[in-house]
Amino acid sequence: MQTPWTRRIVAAAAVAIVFGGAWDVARVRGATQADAKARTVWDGVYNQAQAARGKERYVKECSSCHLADLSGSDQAPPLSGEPFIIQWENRTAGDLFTSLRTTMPQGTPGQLTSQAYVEIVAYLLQANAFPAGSEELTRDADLLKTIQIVRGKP
Amino acid sequence: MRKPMRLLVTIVAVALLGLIAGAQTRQFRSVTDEMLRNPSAGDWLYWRGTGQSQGYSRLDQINRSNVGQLQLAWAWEMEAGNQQAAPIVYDGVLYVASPGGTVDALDGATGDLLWQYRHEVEGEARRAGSAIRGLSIYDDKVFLNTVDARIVALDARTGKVVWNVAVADPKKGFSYSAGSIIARGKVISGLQGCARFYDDKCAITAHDAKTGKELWRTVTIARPGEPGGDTWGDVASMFRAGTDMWIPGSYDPDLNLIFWSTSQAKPWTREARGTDGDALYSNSTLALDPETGKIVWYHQFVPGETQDMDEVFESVLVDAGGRSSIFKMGKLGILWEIDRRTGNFVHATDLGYQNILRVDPKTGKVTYSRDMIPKLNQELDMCPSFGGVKSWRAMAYSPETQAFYIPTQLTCQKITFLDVKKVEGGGGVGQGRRDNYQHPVSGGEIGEFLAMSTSGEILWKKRQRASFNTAALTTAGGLVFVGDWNRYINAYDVKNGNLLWQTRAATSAQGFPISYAVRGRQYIAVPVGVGAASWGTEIPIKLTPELKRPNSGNSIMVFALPQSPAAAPRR
Repeated sequence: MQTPWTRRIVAAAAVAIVFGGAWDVARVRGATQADAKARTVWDGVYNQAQAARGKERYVKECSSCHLADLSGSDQAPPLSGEPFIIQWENRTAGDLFTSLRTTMPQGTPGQLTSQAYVEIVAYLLQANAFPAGSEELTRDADLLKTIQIVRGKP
Repeated sequence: MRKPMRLLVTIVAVALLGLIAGAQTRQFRSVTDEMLRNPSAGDWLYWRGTGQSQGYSRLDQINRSNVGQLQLAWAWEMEAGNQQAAPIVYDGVLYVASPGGTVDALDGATGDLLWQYRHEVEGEARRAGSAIRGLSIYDDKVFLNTVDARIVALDARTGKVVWNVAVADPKKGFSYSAGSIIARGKVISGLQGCARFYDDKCAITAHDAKTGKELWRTVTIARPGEPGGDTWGDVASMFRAGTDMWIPGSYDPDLNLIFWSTSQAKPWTREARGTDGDALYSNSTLALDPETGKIVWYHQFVPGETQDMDEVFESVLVDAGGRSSIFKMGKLGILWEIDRRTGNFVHATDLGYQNILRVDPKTGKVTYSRDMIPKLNQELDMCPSFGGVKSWRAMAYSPETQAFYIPTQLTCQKITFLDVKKVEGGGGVGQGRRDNYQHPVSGGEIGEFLAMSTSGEILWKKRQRASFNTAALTTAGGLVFVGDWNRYINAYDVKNGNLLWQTRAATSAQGFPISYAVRGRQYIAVPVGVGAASWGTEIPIKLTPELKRPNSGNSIMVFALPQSPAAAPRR
């Protein structure tokens, strides 16, 4: 049974699909998901192809300090396992994205595209054993903030 | 043509060719031990000026009365990466290493490029763009320590490689970010990147300046069975890590001693290391005989240090009160004075910004405060943060005021330390969650620049929102130069801290400012740029978010007085 309210959302989505194009579709879909339920990194928020691109970027942009196996160095903290989860638990994918975009790579922060930063976030999620899903992690900073990083599967 | 005529033409031609060649290749006089001991006031031959590392220039053409007229003479863009450049100058040529290991030789008066050397790392581009602090010069060579743990000797006239030697295995994490210093024809260097568990350890080495041959190697970790070996308890040799030397040392030619300081043991905490022993020779200053590398004495400032509070920083050699002393300040913000003949403790003054330990000002003995020794997986609230009250921004000394000029940063952190697996090739520091915050006493002004006498009295201090972000430079003109993260470069009166000149750069002032002279004109050179560990990145970006700097761009800016009123640029 549809309520008048959900009918209105569906109608709005339909209008967006017809008139707004792909960008709006992604936005509305994301927004409705976010409204429906706060997601966590256990919900398959990135996909394998995106993480694979993120890995390539990581090797090129990050591994000189954080090392190819993400184990870190005296110059840079590890990005996998307990050091990663303790730093980021109870924060959001948006916090991680913003931190990377504003401070990394250290010598030239912000030099990558937002797509590249999101791909690196996807790779870090994969490297920390959070499951892949069917869709790519969004580039929308506001939507990223709705994805919680939590330690254990809720 | 008759024979005598032909001979004359030949002679003239040869003479002309010689003149042209002479004009193209600068007359180069070899750098001698005597020059290093008694340098010309216009040269800057060590990373902090001289072997004493005072960061002080004897030049006084730029002084209190005219510094307000200082203007840009030239600037030069450097390579991208973590900027913490420490240029040197010899006979009118400025040599500077960019992050990653590109060396530029620039005409000190005009900024013209004379030659460039670009270091390439074999295979993986490990740590390309990481910081290089300092170069050294001796005979006819400039010496570069590289990110892949090599030492490269360049012909000072041409930049051509004379020798290039491997010192440690970069695949095991070994690296250099600190330049070498010269002592009696030897290139002395300290390794870093020693946080991994291998049998190879951090070490100070000497190489023959002429040939690159390694003459000695002094490991800075006491292994089982060696003197001090019991200070690591029963930790196996392989798992004794750290003592990285990411800051260059000092040299006293009269005592003929090298002074080099080490950073903490790794992993950072006692619990993760598996010993609450002193862990020699971590967080110590070592006095070495340059002929043999023998440790003549050592002084450990914080035995068994357990939360990344480095004392690795510059050793400033000052004769004060009839004593030959070394003054140091590390992340805890304690000014230490030790006797450089014996290593004996003389005095300590705590700035009062750390909440970790108490230091007895009479004996130098430190006692950890209650609950300030971290327990694994438990959050600890500590001041300062890993950024330190003081870090690589070296202090400078002024003989005029007999005081140090010290760039500091006022932060704290909530931190959780983690264990580190004891496996070969593993290791690391054991950092968990870190959240920086403004030091409660800062009132949001996290930048502090202070003048402190050799006996520990504060002469004056400046607090501001932006972090001070360069080493200090003192001059005989009664000035101290320092720059900040918010792109300002300042000149203060050493006596009272009055601001006498200020300009704003394209990006953060960042690195080691120097002064030199060419043909009677004094210059002030200030590196500006980005990167530089948490002090220069996350801390200002997150704690002073309204201050902005560009995302990239490293350069060196060189200032001088107008040559004559007519030569001054028009508005």
